[in-house]
Amino acid sequence: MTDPVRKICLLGSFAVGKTSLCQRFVNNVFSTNYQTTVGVNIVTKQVAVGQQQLKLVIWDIAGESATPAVLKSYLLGSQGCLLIADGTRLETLTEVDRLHSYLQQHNPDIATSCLLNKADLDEQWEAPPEWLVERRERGWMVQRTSAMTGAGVEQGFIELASQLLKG
Amino acid sequence: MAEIEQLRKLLIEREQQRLDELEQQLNDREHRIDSLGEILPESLQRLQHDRNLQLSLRPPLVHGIEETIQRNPKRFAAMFYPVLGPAIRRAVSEALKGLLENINRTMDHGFSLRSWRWRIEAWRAGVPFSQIVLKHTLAYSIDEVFLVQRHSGLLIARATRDSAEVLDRDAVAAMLTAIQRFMQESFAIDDDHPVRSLEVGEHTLWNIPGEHAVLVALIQGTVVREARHMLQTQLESLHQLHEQLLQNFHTYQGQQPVLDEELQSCLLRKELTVSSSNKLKKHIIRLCVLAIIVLGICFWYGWRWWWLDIDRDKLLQSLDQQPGWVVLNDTIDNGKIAVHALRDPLAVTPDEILTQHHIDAERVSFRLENYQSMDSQLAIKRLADAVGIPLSFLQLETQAQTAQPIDHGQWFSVAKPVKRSVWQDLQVLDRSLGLQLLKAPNLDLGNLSRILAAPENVELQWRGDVLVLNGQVDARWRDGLQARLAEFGVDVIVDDLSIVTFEHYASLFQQRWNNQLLVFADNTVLNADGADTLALFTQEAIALKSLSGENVLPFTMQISGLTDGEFTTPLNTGLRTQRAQSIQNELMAAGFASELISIAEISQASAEDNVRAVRITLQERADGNGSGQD
Ligand SMILES: Nc1nc2c(ncn2[C@@H]2O[C@H](COP(=O)(O)OP(=O)(O)OP(=O)(O)O)[C@@H](O)[C@H]2O)c(=O)[nH]1
Ligand SMILES: [Mg+2]
Repeated sequence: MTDPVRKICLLGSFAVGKTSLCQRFVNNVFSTNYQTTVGVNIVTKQVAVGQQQLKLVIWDIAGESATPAVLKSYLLGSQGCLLIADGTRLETLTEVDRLHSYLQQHNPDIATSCLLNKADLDEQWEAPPEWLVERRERGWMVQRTSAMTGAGVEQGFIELASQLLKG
Repeated sequence: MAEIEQLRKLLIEREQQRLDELEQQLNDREHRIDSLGEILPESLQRLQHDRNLQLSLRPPLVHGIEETIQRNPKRFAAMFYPVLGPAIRRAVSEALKGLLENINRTMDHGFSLRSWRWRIEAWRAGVPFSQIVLKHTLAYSIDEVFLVQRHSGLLIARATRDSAEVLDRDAVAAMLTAIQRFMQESFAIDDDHPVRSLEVGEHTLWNIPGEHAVLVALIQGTVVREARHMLQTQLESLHQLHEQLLQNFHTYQGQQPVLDEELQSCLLRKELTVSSSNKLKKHIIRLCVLAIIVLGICFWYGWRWWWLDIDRDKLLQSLDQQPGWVVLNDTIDNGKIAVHALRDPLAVTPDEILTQHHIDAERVSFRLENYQSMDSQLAIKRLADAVGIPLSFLQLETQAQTAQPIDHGQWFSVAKPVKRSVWQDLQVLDRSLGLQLLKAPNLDLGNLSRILAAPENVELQWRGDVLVLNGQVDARWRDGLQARLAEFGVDVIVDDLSIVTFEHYASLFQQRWNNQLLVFADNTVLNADGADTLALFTQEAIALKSLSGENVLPFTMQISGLTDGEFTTPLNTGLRTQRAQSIQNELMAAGFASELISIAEISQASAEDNVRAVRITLQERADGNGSGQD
């Protein structure tokens, strides 16, 4: 008998920090050097949610590949999704909205959670506070994170993991 | 009755009517067909699992199909064509693929040593070659198997030969799925045609899809199709046993059963069946290598020895012919030719012999003892050494004679004069050799000429016992004549009265030609007598010049122009100069250097020279033999 395993996907525009968040969460490292992901990058991590052990298989999907057909194929068998936006680029928030409604429509069983990344970049911050408030009021899970400082990253992933165990 | 009939009619008329209708319906065939058609599909559907229905339907259906095919096969062919085509193509391509693999492998081995072994094996066993190739190329090993949930890419179970856990197995399983997705998307392949195999380094990845899970096998070597079939069967049985788990693995709550053990049976392996004979072959190969090495060493030594032997033969043969060498003993020792020999110190040196025959000096060692050879060549050499005559001369002169017993007397007659001081040594040598030697040199004229080192123009002649010399020589040679004869022990009377020395000749010349007058016919032309005189003078002067050895005339010539009449008149002064110059020119033209010919001052001419002429005055040159190039 082994612990349960869950597949989760990381979605969002390119360069929002999906790979960086994975690296911070799994290996606790960060690099400012940007290397775009080709196709998909897969890492795993054993996490504890309360008393329960859980293994996460994390599919870090290239920002460019979010066409419906590709998305559908990568989402197969996935239990959870982290939608990532870059707080310094408004258009990435729009993309998160788009992805969220896509999931609602096509994969309503998938647990979602939203991360507003690059929280450390106060100066360039563009995401209006209302955006976050509105989404939370609608029942979304939204979390500010920084792959650079590590703030909110662990919580973001664990929060999604606990949703998976409930489901 | 009528009332009863009436009553019945009243009571059951409507029922009667319906009965009639029913009867009519039952009897109405058309109606029955319609109503049965309404319910038949539904009832068939309901009874589809009913064994009885299946059994009863089968014979008429089969029969009907059979009959139709018999009656109209074309129609069935047309019907099945869309299905059969792809099916056949697929079957054929599967078979071809397997065949191609084997052919490729056969080609690979086409010209290898192994292929020849297999050919022999096929020939001995009397089976086709391809069968043997097949037999030998079946070796493979399935090293690792993953059971992966088809959609999620989650790893359900894994079995491996290598117990060491190297990679994150979950990530690997997911990656395998992702790669497949990636390829399917890239090449727009639908899910019904998954990637079947991948080449990864030396491994082949097989992807065997099932309904809920995929079996991924990591294979080394060449796997036969049957193995794929076995894996397929294994996957199917896993589906049967654990359908729920495979289907819901991605959401499975709580602890999950581990299927790793059950996957172990997928780790198929086929060994090459030739292992035992392989060992024997390895032994044989090792023995062969050893034998080759030993043979190689033997060959090397044999080869060296053989060469050494050839060198030795060459050397001994040459030493045998060499004067002054006597080989006492020769051996081959430690890869070297050892020669023990007697050698005359005058004989050729060992090094000379070796270089002459291109024999490596490193490979020959000499042990030499000195002795004196009686060989005539060496005796001559020794003689030459002793008397100080260059050997080159001797060899030249004696070569023609070596065939005959050597007559040293004769030899001596042609040899360069031997100094008297070495006569004693010669006699000693002579005794030791037991040869005859003339007590005195041969006195033929050639030999005497050599002894005297006579110049070319000296003629030697016998007049009775007197040696007469005739010719022109310089005084020094004539004066040394007697001393030379004495030195070489030649005892003859010499008449050298006819010998003319240069000095003597020169003085005769001067006596004859000094103050010679050359008479002119008119102003500047010599008369006939004058011209003859000048010609004779020139001739003799040239002869004297050539005698001098240095080709120099030992005189200067002064030319004075003379006139008759009053010599101071301007006309006569000019004439004198003209005449002197014309003679000077002629002498210069005859080859006498201008600095030896001068024209006298007018004042020097005396009044009594009252002739139309020039006078030549000869004076001995101040510098004796002089350095003037004349
Ligand atoms: N300051 C800051 N920079 C970040 C943060 N997260 C990511 N970055 C930087 O943003 C760039 C893009 O990061 P990635 O993690 O590669 O982005 P991605 O979403 O994986 O991009 P794609 O793979 O191309 O879709 C990199 O240069 C990161 O260093 C963050 O929290 N703060
Ligand atoms: Mg990335």
